[in-house]
Amino acid sequence: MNFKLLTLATACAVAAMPVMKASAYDSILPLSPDPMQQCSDYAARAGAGEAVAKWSVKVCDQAVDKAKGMRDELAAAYVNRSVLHLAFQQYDAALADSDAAIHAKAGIAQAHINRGIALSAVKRNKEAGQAFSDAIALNPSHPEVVYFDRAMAREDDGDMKGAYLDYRKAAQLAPTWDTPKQQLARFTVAHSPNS
Amino acid sequence: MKWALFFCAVSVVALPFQMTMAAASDDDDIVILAVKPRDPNVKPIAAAVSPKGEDISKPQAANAGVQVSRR
Repeated sequence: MNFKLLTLATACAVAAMPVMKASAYDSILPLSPDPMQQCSDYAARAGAGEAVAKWSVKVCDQAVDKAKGMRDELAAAYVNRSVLHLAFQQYDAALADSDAAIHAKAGIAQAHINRGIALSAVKRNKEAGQAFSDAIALNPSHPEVVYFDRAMAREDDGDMKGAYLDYRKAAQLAPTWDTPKQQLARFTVAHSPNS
Repeated sequence: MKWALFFCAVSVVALPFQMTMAAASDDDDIVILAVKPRDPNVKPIAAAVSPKGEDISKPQAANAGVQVSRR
């Protein structure tokens, strides 16, 4: 009897596996004992250009819910969800979350950085440049990243000299980081004798 | 001798200002003649934080950036 039950249970489990796998990826959330930490982990991966599953946004939804009433944690959850929205090219949502983070806790440089990226993605480059400048004014941990991001926004806005100076600043701040140097190599520069 | 010391002191005090002005004028002199198109794979880098809000980004390792495309 027990053997028959075990066989039946195994057969059911095997039959259901493909469905479970597909559902887990698309809609069903895995149990998340600490959604705030998981949200942060997913955002870090997305920020580094790694692929993350769509439901990572839902983990961050849980993080936002759990952080209600805690200023630092709520701002952090909004910042991290904005990174995921950026990764999924949901720029309006990324902008809204960045604004919510700034509203929850003024002076969080990362919210201004992500706000700038969202604005830049929708070609609001002047506002993006201002958002990055706001981030720089808050003394971020990695200013080279903000200068690099602002350089791209300035370049997209047609401010080639501003872009050049920002790429150069990023390269000066992080001499071992190759990407700003590679961008500088695209510029042909002269020094005006009249100035 | 006193005059020499005076001018020496003035020069030393003025040196940082001269250096600042020189640096500023270096930037003013720059003229961008041409710019090659940017590789579309170069992306802006978003900033994630810890659950408490501390910065956890690793910019030099995270060279890919977020996949942001222009609308």
